Amino acid sequence: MFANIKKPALFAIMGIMAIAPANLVFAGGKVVLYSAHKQAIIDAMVPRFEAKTGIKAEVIKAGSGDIINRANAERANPMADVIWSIGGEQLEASSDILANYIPAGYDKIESAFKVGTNWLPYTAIVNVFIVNKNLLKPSQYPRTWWDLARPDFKGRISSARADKSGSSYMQLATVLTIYGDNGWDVYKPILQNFVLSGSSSAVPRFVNDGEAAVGVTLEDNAYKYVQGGGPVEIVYPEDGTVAAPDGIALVKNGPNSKNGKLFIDWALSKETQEFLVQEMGRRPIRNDVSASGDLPPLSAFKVVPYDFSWSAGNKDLFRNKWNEILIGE
Amino acid sequence: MALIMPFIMLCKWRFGWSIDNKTGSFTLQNYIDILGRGYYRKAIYNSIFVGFSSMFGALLIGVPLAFFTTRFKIRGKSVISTLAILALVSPPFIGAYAWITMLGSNGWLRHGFESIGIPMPTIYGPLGMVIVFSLKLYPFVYLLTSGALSNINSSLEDAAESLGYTPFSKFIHVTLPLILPAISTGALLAFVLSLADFGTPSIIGRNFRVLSTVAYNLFTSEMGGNLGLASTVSILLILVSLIFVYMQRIIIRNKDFGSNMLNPPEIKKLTRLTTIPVHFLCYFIVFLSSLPSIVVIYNSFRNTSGPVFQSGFGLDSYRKVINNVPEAIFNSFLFSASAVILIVLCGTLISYVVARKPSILTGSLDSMLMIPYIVPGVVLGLGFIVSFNSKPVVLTGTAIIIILVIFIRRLPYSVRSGVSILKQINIGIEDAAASLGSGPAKTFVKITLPLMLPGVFAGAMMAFITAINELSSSIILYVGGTVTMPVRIYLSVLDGEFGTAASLSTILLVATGVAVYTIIRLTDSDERVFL
Repeated sequence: MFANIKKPALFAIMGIMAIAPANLVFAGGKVVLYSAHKQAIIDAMVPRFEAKTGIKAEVIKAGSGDIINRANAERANPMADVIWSIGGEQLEASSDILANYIPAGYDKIESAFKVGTNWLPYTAIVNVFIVNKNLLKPSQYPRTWWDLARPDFKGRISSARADKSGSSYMQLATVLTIYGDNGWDVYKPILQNFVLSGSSSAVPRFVNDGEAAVGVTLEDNAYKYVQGGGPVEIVYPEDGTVAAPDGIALVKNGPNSKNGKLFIDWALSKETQEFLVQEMGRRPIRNDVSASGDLPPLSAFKVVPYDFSWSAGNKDLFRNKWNEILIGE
Repeated sequence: MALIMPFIMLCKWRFGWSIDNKTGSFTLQNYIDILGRGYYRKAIYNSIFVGFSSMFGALLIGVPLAFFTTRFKIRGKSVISTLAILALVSPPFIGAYAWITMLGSNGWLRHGFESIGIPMPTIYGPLGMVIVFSLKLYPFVYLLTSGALSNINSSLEDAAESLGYTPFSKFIHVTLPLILPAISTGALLAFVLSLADFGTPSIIGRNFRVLSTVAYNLFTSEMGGNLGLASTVSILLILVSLIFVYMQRIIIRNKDFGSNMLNPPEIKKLTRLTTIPVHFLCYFIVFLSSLPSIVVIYNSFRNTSGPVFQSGFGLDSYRKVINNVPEAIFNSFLFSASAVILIVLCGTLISYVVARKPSILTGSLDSMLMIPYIVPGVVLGLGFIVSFNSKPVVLTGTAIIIILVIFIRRLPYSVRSGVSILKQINIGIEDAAASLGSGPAKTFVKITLPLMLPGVFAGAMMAFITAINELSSSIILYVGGTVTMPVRIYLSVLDGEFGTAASLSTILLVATGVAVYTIIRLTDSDERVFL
């Protein structure tokens, strides 16, 4: 076993060490993107960008938590130029590794979404409930956040962890925004009804499979299951929800910052935004692009304003309180 | 030896330092906070409970399977071995997800049993975790015990028999003590891994808290983790594991029986009466542990629309992935094979030093090697980025950094396996060689190493299987050219594309299965009975 395997494999190791990353020649150089986008969207968008600009785009795809942790670990010598499509809360929490940039067409971006420090809104996402039609009759659907605290939902609501997932934290902050001084009194029984999931992408999956009756998730995640014909429906909370942007940001001291800026310009252009709205089930952040006809317009349900600096500034306080409820149960 | 040690120490110091660097200041306050809270004490208690239960489950499955397959003529033994080893290739997330589709609240298997009047509890909670862990971790016990059983000097057993021992009391009083180092090592690996694994508890544990998930959530928060608290919880995990490492060391301390292995045990034919139940038992065990894989393979052929499975079957999920598969498969095998070669070379030498030259130094080296085994891979990966992303050594973006992390995480398999097999080898043989004028290096290569081979093989196999399955560090370290199969599978899961995730998993499973089966057949025909 030893004699047979050793030499070729040692050569293989030496081989890897010898091969430097090969760069294809693109006239405009390259840009390195860290993204949490769906692979299908990356595959559809990258060739468009490359054809338009002559810049080679190298995409590293991972979960948004992995991306922000990785970018933070690399801060001494950044490898990425742009962080592309991860939650605004995560970017806000790591704004010190990002660089401020005002892109072309900045004035066309809806001012309600211009809330980030060193990051830009990319698309808008709404927080929704996803319900399983086989497990619940419409009369039993939760219609408000407060409904999630109903005793019959004990152990039947799937949610990600607010101490881990950016979107789950935003949902907590949403309840606090809507209910003001009574926010924690409302959120506590909701949290006690939750079955917490380690991964936020698993939430709509569990509802689709009938493992949970209700899930708290982002509209685009839920919409994929509706499109796929799953036994699920989207419910927009009547007491209000937030339409918050996910973000795109230039990494401070990235290796190809110039191209990174060009990529951001392209991603926020009218043409790209229209494409995203058609293909992704997300909402545009430009006021000259209209939402997809498949989704109800923002005016069809109650949208409450969301204060990013307030929610980012109270992060430790809110997460500790969240943890206290969990610990105290 | 002298060449390899500094390299290992360097690796150890580098990432030891980087974890420190990330945690920042260090006070006892975190410990007071944690131990003072019922929440965390409960997590410690739960972890130990799950660890012990899973360990006993793994022993209960692994030891009989090893005994039957090494001592009796079993039809399709290579198939059984391969399937048992493949139980370790549990695709990230979708292995546990497969259990949920069978035994979750809405699981088809559970509904099936209920429709014929047999109530089944759901897989959620501590019981489910213990079952899943037992079925996932028994291959460690099985591999090590098989190696040890085929390495016993059968004269000892024959002597017991001629002294009138019944087969059962012979097993308890003669065979068991001889293979105890191997069994307890398998138990140790199963215990520590069930303690450190966070994937299974976070999916099927539901609100049942264990230390690993508490630490993982604190470490990997998207909005910046609480690293002080996270590392405190990790250190508690490490402490619990180290206590067990020492307990195992005490158990095997006086077990240097040292058989000379000149007389390997014969493989008996089963009688007509026993052959059916023994075969049934062996195949039933590997069938149960293969269930998640069977579900995954089944799902890979189902039609999908986005994330939702539809009725009907087809090859769509394969068509979607096939273009990108060759590179990822090649990387997976290249990285894990490279890491395993390094692991076998270093691990064998380290195990020799640890077992034959016991001292405070080698003892603490032995314990330190367990730390990367317990620390979550993502934490180790981030540590490596912090360490190797600035001059003089820039490794980020290369294959080397991925191989190095796999190496350091999986090294304990080879070391533990080597130590346990050395306990079985009579040191007198080495002394005899030395007295005949053979130098230490020559003695090791010519005498000790050949005798160690079953243990080295078991260690290499465990390292290979877990290396090819490595996700949590690779996801942090990969770049376009170094993507591996588990990373691709995980990314499909993130997109909600369970069809493509299942087809990718099936491809990985089949490729790994072919590799493992080939190795087993090759080594089997070599007259030596490895498995």
